[in-house]
Amino acid sequence: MSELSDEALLAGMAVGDETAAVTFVRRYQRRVYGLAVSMLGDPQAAEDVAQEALLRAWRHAQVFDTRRGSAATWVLAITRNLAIDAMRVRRAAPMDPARFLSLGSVSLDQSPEEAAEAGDAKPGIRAALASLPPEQRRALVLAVVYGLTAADVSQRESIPLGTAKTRIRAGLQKLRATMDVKVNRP
Amino acid sequence: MTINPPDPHCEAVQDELAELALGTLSGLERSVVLTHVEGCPSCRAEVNRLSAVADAILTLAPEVEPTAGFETRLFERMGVSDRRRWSLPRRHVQRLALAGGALLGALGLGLGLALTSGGGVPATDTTAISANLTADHTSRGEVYLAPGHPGWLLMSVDHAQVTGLVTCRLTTARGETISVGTFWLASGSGTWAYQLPVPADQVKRAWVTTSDGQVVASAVLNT
Repeated sequence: MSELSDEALLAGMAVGDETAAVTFVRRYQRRVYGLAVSMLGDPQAAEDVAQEALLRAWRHAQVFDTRRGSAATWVLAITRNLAIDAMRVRRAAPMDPARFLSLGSVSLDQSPEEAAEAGDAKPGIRAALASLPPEQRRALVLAVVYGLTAADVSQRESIPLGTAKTRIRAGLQKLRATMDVKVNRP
Repeated sequence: MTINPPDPHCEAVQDELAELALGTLSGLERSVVLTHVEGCPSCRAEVNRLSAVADAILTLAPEVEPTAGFETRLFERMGVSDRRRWSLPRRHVQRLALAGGALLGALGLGLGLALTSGGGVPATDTTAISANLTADHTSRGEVYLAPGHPGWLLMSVDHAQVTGLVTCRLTTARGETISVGTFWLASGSGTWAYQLPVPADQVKRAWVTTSDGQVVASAVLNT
């Protein structure tokens, strides 16, 4: 069971297979909790979010569509949305984007080759993010990871609203151009 | 070759497409952009591409061990039976829903272990070893090694004056440095258990570092 693909596990979960659910949880709990705790900075709140995200994956596995992305991005997107909701309820100030960027096993200063040698499976996206101008990277992480609106980013960074919007859009577009993201969305 | 002039309607919503893709657009603005996107295949495709980039950024989040008992509580909420939980092996790291002395007691009772304190006595097949985690000659917690196949490491950190993610590292008798796992310190405290990646008697030093490499505390073992 542990060697089954994510998609196979979700297919099993969709029909109520508990063994698939246990395997899926053990495969993803560290990533889900890691995202939640790096967004919220509070272990208890992060546990609540991570539990709810995995619970929703279990309850709604039947709506997962492989054409719309991977299981990893699906469950992490659920986690992000729940964490953003939790931040809004708690009125918590988002953490420093530099903190999110500094986490993980590979530094942003590393080249893709160095990252690959260090065992990072995501050197492409990490290197692409590292290649952005710092102010663009900050705006992007604040919007993508912490769910800040352009108006929020404008206020937090003390920049005009138009500049905030441009930084977010230009950052995403640059990453798209350098990442070779495979999109199979309808 | 003829280049079509940009559609003024598309031009008008370009900045908002990114926010729509990120789910941060709301109210009237969202309604206006959505109306355009629904009727514009080009902008719809752009939103999908930008969403995929945002999803990819989320995968950069670090892997962090959840708090003790996380899995048990989750499986109870999911209604997963005990039989299912225990019938599957855990591959990487097992967290135990026990802490501190309770965990040590469980390790000792369950594995038939004796405990040696102080770090001066090497671990054997039947002897667990403990040592103080210290920083600046002040105790910051304890480390326990329980031999076995696999062996276990329990790390309990207190009053470390650090909040956030920290990494547990080991130095082996061969001089190798191994990163064992990452966990969260809340107000300087946390307790975690890991499967040992090497035999317990091969661990010479254990320490905790912050994400930028600063040493929070360390312990000498198997001297």
